Amino acid sequence: MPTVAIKDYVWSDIDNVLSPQNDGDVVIDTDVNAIINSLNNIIRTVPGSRRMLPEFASPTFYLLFEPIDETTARRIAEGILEAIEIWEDRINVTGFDIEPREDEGMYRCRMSFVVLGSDQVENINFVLSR
Amino acid sequence: MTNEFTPDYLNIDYNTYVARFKELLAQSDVYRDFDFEGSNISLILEMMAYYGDVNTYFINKVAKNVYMETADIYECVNRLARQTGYEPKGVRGSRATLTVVVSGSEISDGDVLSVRNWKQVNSGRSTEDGDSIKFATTAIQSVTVSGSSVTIQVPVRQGIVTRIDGYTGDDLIDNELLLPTDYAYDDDLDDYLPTIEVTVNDAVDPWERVSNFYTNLIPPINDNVYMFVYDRYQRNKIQFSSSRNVPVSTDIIDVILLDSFGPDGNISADTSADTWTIEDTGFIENETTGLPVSNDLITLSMSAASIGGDDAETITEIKLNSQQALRAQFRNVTENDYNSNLSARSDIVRATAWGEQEYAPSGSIELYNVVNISVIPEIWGTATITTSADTLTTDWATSGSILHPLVYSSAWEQELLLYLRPRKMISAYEIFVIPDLVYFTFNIGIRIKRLASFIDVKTDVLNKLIYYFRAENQEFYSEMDFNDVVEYLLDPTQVSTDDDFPNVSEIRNLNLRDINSNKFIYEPNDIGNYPYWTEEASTVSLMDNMLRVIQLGLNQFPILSDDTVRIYQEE
Repeated sequence: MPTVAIKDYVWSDIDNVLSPQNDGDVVIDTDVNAIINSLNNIIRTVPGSRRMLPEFASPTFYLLFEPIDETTARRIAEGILEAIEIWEDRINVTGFDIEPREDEGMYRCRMSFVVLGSDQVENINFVLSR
Repeated sequence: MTNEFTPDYLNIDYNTYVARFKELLAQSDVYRDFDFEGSNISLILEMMAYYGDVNTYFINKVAKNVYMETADIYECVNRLARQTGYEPKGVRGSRATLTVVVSGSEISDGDVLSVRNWKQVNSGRSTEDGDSIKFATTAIQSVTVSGSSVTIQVPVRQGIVTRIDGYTGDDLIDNELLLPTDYAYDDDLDDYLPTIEVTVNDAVDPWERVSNFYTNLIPPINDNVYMFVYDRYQRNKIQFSSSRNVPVSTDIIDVILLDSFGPDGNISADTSADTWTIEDTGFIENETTGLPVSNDLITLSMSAASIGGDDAETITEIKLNSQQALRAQFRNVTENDYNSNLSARSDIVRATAWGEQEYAPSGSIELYNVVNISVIPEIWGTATITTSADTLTTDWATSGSILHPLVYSSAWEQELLLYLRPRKMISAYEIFVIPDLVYFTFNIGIRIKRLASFIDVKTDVLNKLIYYFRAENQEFYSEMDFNDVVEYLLDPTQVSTDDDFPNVSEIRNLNLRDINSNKFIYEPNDIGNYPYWTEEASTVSLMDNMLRVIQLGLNQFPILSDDTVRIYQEE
């Protein structure tokens, strides 16, 4: 009699590192981690670099070479939010803070989002640098 | 299931791959909900699909180019044709015959004059780009003066004499000498005049150009031979064979060629405004006195148009000509052999041949082994077949542009016989018969769809009719079935290479109301009266007579009198 596998997650994706798990298959990221993978790809993809889908990207890459100031930070934030709105429909972004650090040559970012269909608020912190 | 393994490469593209991967993963419990553009697995799938797409494209390209029927890359078509023994042709220079008159104090009765080879003459005409159209002699020709002047018919080829020297045997790679690609070398092997000269170590006798290294092996064998080929990368090169002689590393190789304009070098016969000039000294030498004749004493003229200039063969032409060459097996036996052999020339569109059995089935000693040949030249005129003007009068119009072929140019006829000689059956006696042009013209009534433009429809119908009757699309000794003409006109899938005749699909009805010909159409007979109706008048009603099929004669060729075609709109 066949067994029915019961999943305890909704979304799945393979992990960026592609490291094997115990059964030899690659490690999978599920639910929020799968969404974070997607956000990571959206933010880090250079416009025009994806084969057959050149519009998949955010303008972050080019803006990182602009002067590190409040104006550029605002443009980066707007670009990221716009790209997420287009390419990631599983979440609702509730907050995005970006802090330019000219002396360190980077931006510190903090994003809050709610996974649609749940009340769970997730926060991720990341750094954008050249 | 039966079609599951049928390869359909065009459907295995990027999008299909992605869709199939997604379908596959949708069946997986682990990756069921991965389908978001930003997911890692989407990126990997797309990368695999992209590689699959590219791979499929190249596999498809390779598979197509393995076979002559589907090959679409010149390199592959060239090599496949060469496998069948056919040498694809490069640019061919136009050829003409100059009338050279020499008179004056430097010649006298009995002197022997020789027209030297590789001498440049200027026609005084220019191409559209402003380049002077020059011709050159390629063979030495001698004549004895009788009286105080002499007239010589000198064959010339269009092209600028290009001397490429400084090569040695060291420059050969795999017995091949690759020539500079800056020129459009005349590549006509079929003409009896040479268009290239290769000498080694300044020897008096140039090496001999051959079409393959397996000919001319009957003693006395001349092993100083080479091939001049147009290779798969559309470059000209000289090939030597180690089975014959190959210049050694210290040998000096000199090459003379013609840099040709191809079809742009075809010019009309001289008018009173045209003047030829000789650009080289020593155009004619007086062998008796040992001195060159001054160019001032030489006048040149060209009474017939130059013909035969053409571009390098296209992929389509190579496919057609190689298949025909293979079918003919390099022998002229059947009508198809003659047609394919002769129409491969750039100055002939169609050809036919027939023998005793076709027009004397009971046998005739006089006609035994006679091969009658008739051709349709690319350009009518004194260089090919002289014509006179004729008229075609119908109830609705008169055409004065009807051609009536009169006689073959004797020089061209001799050239064709020489061209045919390598494939001639030893017992065959080949003669040229003047083609008989049977002109047809039509009175056509059409009804068109409500919103269509009659002018547009009329234009397309006429253009399609002209295309149908183009010499390339017609044959000698054919049956002219007017139902076929109507069917062709109304069939939207029948298109030319440069016109789809789109407005023909706007026709509701098309009727051939009247048909006229410049020939009297005989009733069915077996005494050789052509053209004739294939059905007795008594078997069809009088009103149907016009649609009876017409059988043309052995040397009769259908042509459209397009300026008398009448197309009118019926309500």
